[in-house]
Amino acid sequence: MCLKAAAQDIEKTQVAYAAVNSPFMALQRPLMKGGDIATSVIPGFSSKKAIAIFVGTQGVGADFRYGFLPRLSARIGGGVTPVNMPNAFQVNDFKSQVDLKVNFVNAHLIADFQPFPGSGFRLAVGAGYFVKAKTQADVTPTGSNTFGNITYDPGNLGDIKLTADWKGIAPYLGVGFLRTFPGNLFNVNIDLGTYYLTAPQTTIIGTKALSPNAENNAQFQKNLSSYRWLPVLQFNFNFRL
Amino acid sequence: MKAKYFTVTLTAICACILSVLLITGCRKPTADINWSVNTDVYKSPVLVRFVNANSSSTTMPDEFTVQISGKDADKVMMGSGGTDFQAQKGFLPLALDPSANPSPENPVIFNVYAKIPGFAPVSQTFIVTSDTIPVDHTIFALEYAHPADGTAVLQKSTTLSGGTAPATVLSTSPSGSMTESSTITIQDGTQMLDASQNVINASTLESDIVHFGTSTQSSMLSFPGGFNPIDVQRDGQSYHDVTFKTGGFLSIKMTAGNSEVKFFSKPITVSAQLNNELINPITDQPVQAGDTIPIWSMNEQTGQWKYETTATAALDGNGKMSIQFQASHLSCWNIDWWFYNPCRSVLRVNVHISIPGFRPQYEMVLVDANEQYLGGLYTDNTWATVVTLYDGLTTVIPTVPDIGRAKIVVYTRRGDPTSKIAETAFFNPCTKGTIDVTITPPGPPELINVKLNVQGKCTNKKVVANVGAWVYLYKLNAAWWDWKIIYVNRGQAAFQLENGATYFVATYYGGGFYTTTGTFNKNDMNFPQHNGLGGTATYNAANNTVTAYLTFALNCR
Repeated sequence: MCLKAAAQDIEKTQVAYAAVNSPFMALQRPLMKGGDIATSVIPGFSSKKAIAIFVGTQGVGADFRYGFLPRLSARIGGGVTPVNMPNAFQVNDFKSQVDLKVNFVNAHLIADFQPFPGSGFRLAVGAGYFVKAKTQADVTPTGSNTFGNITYDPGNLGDIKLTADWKGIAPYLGVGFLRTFPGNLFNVNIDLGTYYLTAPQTTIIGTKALSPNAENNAQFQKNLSSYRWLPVLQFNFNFRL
Repeated sequence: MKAKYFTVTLTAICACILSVLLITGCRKPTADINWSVNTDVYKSPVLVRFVNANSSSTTMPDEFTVQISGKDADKVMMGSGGTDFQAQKGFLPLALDPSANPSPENPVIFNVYAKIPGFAPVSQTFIVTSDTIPVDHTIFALEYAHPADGTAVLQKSTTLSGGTAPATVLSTSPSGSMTESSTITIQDGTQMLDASQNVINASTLESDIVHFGTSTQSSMLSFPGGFNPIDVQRDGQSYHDVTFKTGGFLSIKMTAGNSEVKFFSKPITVSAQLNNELINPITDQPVQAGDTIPIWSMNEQTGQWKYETTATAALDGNGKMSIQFQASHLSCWNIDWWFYNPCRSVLRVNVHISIPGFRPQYEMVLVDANEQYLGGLYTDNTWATVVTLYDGLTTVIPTVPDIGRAKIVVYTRRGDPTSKIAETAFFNPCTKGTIDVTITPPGPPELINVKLNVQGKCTNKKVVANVGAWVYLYKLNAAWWDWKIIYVNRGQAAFQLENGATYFVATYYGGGFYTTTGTFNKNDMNFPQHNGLGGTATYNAANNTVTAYLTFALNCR
């Protein structure tokens, strides 16, 4: 109990500090005047440390969350997206199958700010470093392809590998819903946001009769130049420490 | 409540912004990409171009079927695939099956035979020694209606009785530069026999006879099969590395009813006059009475020469030197000395051109005293006569005939004896070793570099085929010889054209003959789609290069 009281005292101090220094102070004041959220502000985080395991569009991963202030916390962690999708889709131009491989590995540092204490709504700003951010599509002929009078069997035509690599630092902006730190042992919250990735570096490698497709890489790169938004819809399973 | 309302609103705004960014920021990754496929699966591209031996005739060989025969015929296919050997506009692009591995030690040998409507049958044996080097070869076909200068033609219909001929005399007459005549005499009661030696029951005999003389290059160029047969048969033996030195040639075709005459029940008598200036290579003197000349027949469908007999020269009733022999079968009959034992010496040819950097395509050949072709250059493992020459070029003629007097001559235009631009003095090719040829060409026109890209564009897919194809460029409103044949390897070729000249551009691929026209100059330009071929070109002043992109429609599936 003593420890808990001490913690609450610290949190009160942090809230007061935040209320004075936060750039959102002007926004908070009218809300506090109303008094309907005062009780939410005062309790703050029940614990300022948590471990989260997340799953979402950027893959799976984990991070450590720490609340610096009652409405300001940060998370540091990493995620991976190991996806192999054999025969992911068909292309009309060749009798072929396309195997898709996505390999994203990132480390991220993101700050969460709660503009409306007690609402669970967060603004999230940060960045990730994508150690790997590669997508590869392997186009493999599966049947005979005929061009004029010349027919290629699958083994003779060759194949095409298209890769795009967004490796590098990517800023993150998003919003979150539900509390970052569980009141009890465990809770779930949601992030919705996007990374802004570096411009992708692309390659096209063709073999055998498809070898000249390396010349298409300039157009491929141009087409992917606007593929820089990595949307994030993420479910976080938070465990209080 | 206000906070919750604000939260929901803000969330909706964020979601909208995010959605807009995602939707507007992306385009299809493969947009504007045409997948490229190299379709050069076959080896050793060989372009056979059939042209009229008479350059002043407006009739050119057009569409006809070609027979491929010989020991390696099964390795031959059309350059764009398939074995439907159809020439179009006189072009027949061939190639070898991927399994073929031609080399100088193991050449691929095949024969091309064509019966072109309105022309005497043509036959040519090809020796392919490289699996990569493109070879183009022109076959000069003799048009019956407008024979080349230096030849004489007789087309005559005579009567038969149940396939049996009365006494018949068929004669060709001197005409133009052709000062010699020939006569074929059919004995009374001679039966016309087919290939199975069965009597042909017919009432008419159609005879097409061509006498090729030795006084003009156009006649020489029309010599069926050329002067360097792969081998000849004599007395059951094969002889290789043969060089013919001709005294004339007779192409005799007879048709009884609808059947081709191949044999006679009684031998026919063939007599042919010889040119007064014909040099006997054995004596190195004009032919005298008593000189002997071997007589050869050729199976045109296989290109195989066979020794038949030896004729003796004698003065005929008109005071002309002539030979006479008897023939029991019909084919091409050749009056030729032969050299089957080349001296095995290599003749090295050093080319000197007075204009540095000028790379003309000239014909350079080894000829005898009658300016009859004896040998061509051997460049990049490929026999050739029309080659790109440049100052400092050194090349070789690896096998030269054992003949005492020969010379190197250079023509600016193949088949045009008036275009001779250089020649050496006579020399013995067996002992000379190295010969220098100095060419002083006229000032070349301003040239422009051309990088040509030719692709077949699939009509139903976003795929382009980088074809292996021959491209023919003919300068409009110019002389017939002002053309260039370029092999486009994997859709690309580089060459030079005259700046500002307008060219008819054509390619024959996959059964389609595609054409366009365009002026190659120092501007960007379009090639209009005249007949399936079209595209654009851009000019780069920095390197004086026009880069042209031409496409034609291709069926893909």
